[in-house]
Amino acid sequence: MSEPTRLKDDPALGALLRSADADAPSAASRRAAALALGLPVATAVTGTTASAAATATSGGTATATTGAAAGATTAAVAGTSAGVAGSAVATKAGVSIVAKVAIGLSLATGAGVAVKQTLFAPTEQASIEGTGRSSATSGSPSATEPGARLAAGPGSVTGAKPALDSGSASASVAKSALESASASVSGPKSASVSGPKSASVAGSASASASGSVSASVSGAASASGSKSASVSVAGSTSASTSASGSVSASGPESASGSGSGSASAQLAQEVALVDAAVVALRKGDVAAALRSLDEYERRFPSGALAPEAAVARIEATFASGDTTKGRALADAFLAAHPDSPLAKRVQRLGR
Amino acid sequence: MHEATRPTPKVELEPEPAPASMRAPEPPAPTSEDRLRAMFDANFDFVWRSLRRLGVPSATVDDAAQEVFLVASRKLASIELGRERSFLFATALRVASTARRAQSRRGEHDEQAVAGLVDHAANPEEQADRQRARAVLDRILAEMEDDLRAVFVLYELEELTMAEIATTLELAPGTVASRLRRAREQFQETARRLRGHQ
Repeated sequence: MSEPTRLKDDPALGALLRSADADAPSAASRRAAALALGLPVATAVTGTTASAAATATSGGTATATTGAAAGATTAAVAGTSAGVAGSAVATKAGVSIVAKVAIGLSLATGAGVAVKQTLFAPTEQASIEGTGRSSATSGSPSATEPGARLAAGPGSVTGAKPALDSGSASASVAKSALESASASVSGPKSASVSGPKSASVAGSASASASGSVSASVSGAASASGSKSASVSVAGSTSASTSASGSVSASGPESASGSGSGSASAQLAQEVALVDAAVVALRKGDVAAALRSLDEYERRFPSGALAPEAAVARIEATFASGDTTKGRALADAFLAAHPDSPLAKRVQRLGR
Repeated sequence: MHEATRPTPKVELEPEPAPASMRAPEPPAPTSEDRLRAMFDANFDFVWRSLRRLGVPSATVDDAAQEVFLVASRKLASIELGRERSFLFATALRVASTARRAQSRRGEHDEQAVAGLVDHAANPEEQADRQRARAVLDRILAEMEDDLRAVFVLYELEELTMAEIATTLELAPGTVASRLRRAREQFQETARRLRGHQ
């Protein structure tokens, strides 16, 4: 069997296909799935390529470092220390990434979790670091949801949304590791953090930095156990059960090339309108579908998705019961686009 | 944000296992937990990505991926050794089809795609660009027939060889080749048309 060259390598279509590369499950979703299957969580986060080493000192820190060469598919770091698991996953980085996760905990009377995440790239680096405390009383699944989402341009930070129903998280990303970064989290029993080297993550946060390097960082910490567990930097609270935290970083591919691959904003709006029509149609709301299509045709009279819009209109017309008009539109479409992949569908509609 | 509820395992009406005396002696296979673990580690990302490109919206893909593995864990004993990925992908195809139908019934948009369109300010340009490209990619894939789409996703996105696809989908190699050819033609034509408009 001769294998055709993959379209990802096609100069014109590659970027379109590679846009899917960064679409990957978060560490939290992987962990939630492992939990649902009854698999132990600490080992649930795995990497497929670069290996990682983690060392832990009791009551001290666990540090894991990995380097992913440019273009490496996946690099993972997992550190585990006395019930606290941290992990970092770097995916599909166009540049080399080093992720460090440090977890410190004091076992006797309390546990502290410090998550330190540093991304090094040739041209830019982003870091998140900190310690903090958080309390979680629920089982871990609730703490594994994707939570705060941050987007940061070079040196800047924008918004956050609640990480958990019961808490909120915010984090800052500093462009340079030398600048301080802070993250704060408040959990059900309140937790706050600030300043350099302080951050705790309850629920999760993801951040991304723009520029020549894109990095998204998400972290999750959860405490699970019979009743409650608390993790605190001060070490004043006893932790009787295990807690786990994870950080994942994914560095999506570097800037998509201009031109061919990147979809224009206009096209995106076209897609949104046609999709809205199709969705309305499937719901049986013919009027809404036609409204979207009218708007589409008004705004994009010679739009890229005109054939799709035309087909949706044909479907809507048949759905409205006007088969005469439906047939006329279908015939017109088939005459105009005899070779379209959509022609077959239109023929089926016309029957 | 969706609830991280665990899907409750459904009660399966499966035949009672034969009494031990009638069963063949167990091969020295790995324990089922080890096997499940290995299958999960090797395939979770693959299943998740496949579900996305088979049209499962981002809001429900985590649940769908869990469902695929829950099905696999219930049927573990009947999955042939070495055929795990094939089983998982076949299951993913069914789960994706159900999820797509549920989505159209509820009339939901893929929130991630929509966020990519609306949320320009909060995202770096590049990320927005990629999200838009992904929305277009998914739009093109949505127009493919399921048979073509499965082959296209495995070859172009998962980068399996055609022989691997034939094994995974239990198809004759010639069928894989012809489906791939048709899928690529459709994809290229639609993409070319869309690009011509930019």
